[in-house]
Amino acid sequence: MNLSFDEIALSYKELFIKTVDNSKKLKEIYDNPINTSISETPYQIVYTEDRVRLKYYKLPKGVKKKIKTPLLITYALINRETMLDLEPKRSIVKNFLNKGIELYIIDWGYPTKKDKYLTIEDHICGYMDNIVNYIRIRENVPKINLMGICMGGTFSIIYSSIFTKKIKNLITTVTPTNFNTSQGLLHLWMKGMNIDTLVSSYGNIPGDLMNLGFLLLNPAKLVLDKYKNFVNNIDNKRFVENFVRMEKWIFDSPDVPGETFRQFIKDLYQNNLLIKNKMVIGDNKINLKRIDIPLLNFYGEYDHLVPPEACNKITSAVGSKDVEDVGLKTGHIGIYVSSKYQNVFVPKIIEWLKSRDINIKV
Amino acid sequence: MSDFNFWTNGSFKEIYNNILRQTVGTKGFKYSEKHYDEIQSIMESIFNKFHLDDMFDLKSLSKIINDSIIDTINFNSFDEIIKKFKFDSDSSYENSFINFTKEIFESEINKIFSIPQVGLGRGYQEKINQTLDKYLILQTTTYKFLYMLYLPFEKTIEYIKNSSDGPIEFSLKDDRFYGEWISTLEKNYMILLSSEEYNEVLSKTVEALSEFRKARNSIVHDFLKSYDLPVDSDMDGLYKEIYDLKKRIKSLEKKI
Repeated sequence: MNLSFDEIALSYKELFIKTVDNSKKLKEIYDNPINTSISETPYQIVYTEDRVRLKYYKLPKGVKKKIKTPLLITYALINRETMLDLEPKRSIVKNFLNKGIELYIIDWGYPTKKDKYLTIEDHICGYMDNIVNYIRIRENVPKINLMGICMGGTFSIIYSSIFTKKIKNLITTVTPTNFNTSQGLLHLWMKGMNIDTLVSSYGNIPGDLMNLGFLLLNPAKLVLDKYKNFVNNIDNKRFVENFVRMEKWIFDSPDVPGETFRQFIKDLYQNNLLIKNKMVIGDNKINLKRIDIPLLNFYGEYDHLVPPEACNKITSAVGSKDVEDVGLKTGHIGIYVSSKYQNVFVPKIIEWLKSRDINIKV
Repeated sequence: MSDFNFWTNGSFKEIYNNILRQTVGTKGFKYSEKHYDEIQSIMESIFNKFHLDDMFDLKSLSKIINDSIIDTINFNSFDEIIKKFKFDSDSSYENSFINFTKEIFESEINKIFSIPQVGLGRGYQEKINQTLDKYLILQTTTYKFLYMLYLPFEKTIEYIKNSSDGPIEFSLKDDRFYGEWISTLEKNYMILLSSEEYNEVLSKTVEALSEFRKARNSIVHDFLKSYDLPVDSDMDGLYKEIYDLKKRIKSLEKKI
C-alpha cells in the first residue's frame, strides 16, 4: 500500500477532529452522573464462614414460587458472582426471581494470605457442604438443586459425586471437565507451566496476574479493539455505563488460594484426572459414575476459555441416563451477559427443573 | 578491565560459535557468524563500563547492559532489530538474536553469580548474587516474550501491504483498513499463541518471574528481620497452624 504524505496527513487531521469531538462528548457524559453500579438486586447474607458468604435472593412481591426445591449457584473462584447481576435489565438473578425461582449464591469472598493452604477439599467438603446442609435445614428439604458456573461447575460435579444424597438435579454451565484438549489456549498453556514455583513464590495466585493471562488469550480484541469500540461509542451513555460495569466485573478478581490453584492445575489441566475417575479429594476418590441424578450441561460453542470439547464429555461420563447437553452459539460469558442468550438459558433451566420437580407439592 | 579480556580475545568467539552451532544449526550459524563483530562489541562495551561495585546495584547493572546493547548496535526501532537479526522471515523464534543473548546470559554471566562466597556475610552475598542472576534471567526472558508479542503486528502489516486484492485505502471514514488490520492481527495472534514456541517462552517467563520474586524476597526478609519485623516465612508458619487447628475444630464440631 502506498500512501502519500498528504493522504496520511489528512487521515491524522480527521483523527484529530474526531478526537476533539469525542472529548467534548465525553465531557458532556461525565458532567452528568452515570450509573455503573453492579449487583444491585437486594439480597440477604444468611450464612457466613471465614471469608465465604451465602447470598439469599427472595422472590419479589407478587411473584409465585414455581419450584419447591431451592437452587444453589456456585460460582468460580476466579472473578466474582456479581457477573450474574451486572445490570438490572440484563440480570440472570432478576430473570430467575421474576420467573419464580428463589436463589442462593455462594460468594467466595477475597482470599487473604491466611487462606493460602485451603485446598479443593476444603472448598467442596468444607464450605460447600456446610452451605448445602444449611439450606437443607433452612428450607426443610432433603435435597437441593445445584448449578455450577465454570470452575464452580467442576466443584459442583465433584460435590455431587461425593454427596450423592444431597443433590436433586445438577446444572453445569461452561464447566471444564475434560482437560485433554488443544482447542483452548489455557489448556495448551497450563500443560507446561511450573505451578509449584508459581505457588511457592506468590502463595495465593494474584487476580491481576490471572487477568493479564486472560487478556493475552486474545490481545487484539481485548487490549485494542475493545477500547477502540469504547471510544467510538463514547457518545452513547448506555453503552458507556455497561462498558464500565463490565470492566468493573472483569478486573474485580480475587486472588486464588495457592493450594487450590496448585491442585486444580496439576490434577485437572495437567493430568486430566477428573474425567478419568482418578481424582482424589480428601479421602474420596472421585467416581463420576456415582452421579445418577439428572444433569443439564450448557456450554458456549465459541467459548475460547473453556471450549466445547472441554465441556461436552461429562454427560457420557456420569452414571445418570437423564442427561442433556445444550450448546449455545456464544462465548464464555455471553450466556450470562447477553440478553439474547439469557432469554434462552433461564427459561430452559426453569422448564427443565420444573419437569423434575413434579413430585413435590408447592 | 583487564580481567575481562576473555571477552575480547578468541575464547569468546569459540564459545559463541559452539553455542550457535548447538542452538541454531548450520544455516543460522552461517548467518550469525557475520554478526560476531557486533556481539563482540556489545560484550566489550558492557565490560568496559562494568565496575565490581555495580554487582551490588541491580539498577546500574541493568542500565549498563541495556545501554551497551543500544549504544553498540544503535537500534532506531524494533524493525531494525528484526531486519538485523531475523535469519529469514519464516525461521523459528529460536533463531533470533534475543534467544542468543539469553543463552549467553544463562551460560556465561550466570556463572559469575554462582561463585561461592566466603566469610561472615557469605549467606547475604550469595542471596544478592542470586537475585542479580534471577533478575538478568527475567530480563532476557521478558525481552523474548515481548518480542514474540510484537511479531503478529509486523506480520499483519506485511499482509496488509501485500494483500492480493490490492492495497486497502487507509481512511478513518469507512474503517475498512482498521477492520482488515484487526482481524488479521487477531488471526496472527491466534497462530502465535497456539504455537509451542510461545508456550515455552510463556512458561519460562512466568518461571523466571517467580524465581526472581523468591530471590528478591529473601533479601527483603533479611532486611526486615534486622528490624524484628515478622516476614512471610514466620507468618506462613502461623497461617499453617491456624489452618490445621481450624480444620480439626470443624471436624470435631461435625462429630458432636
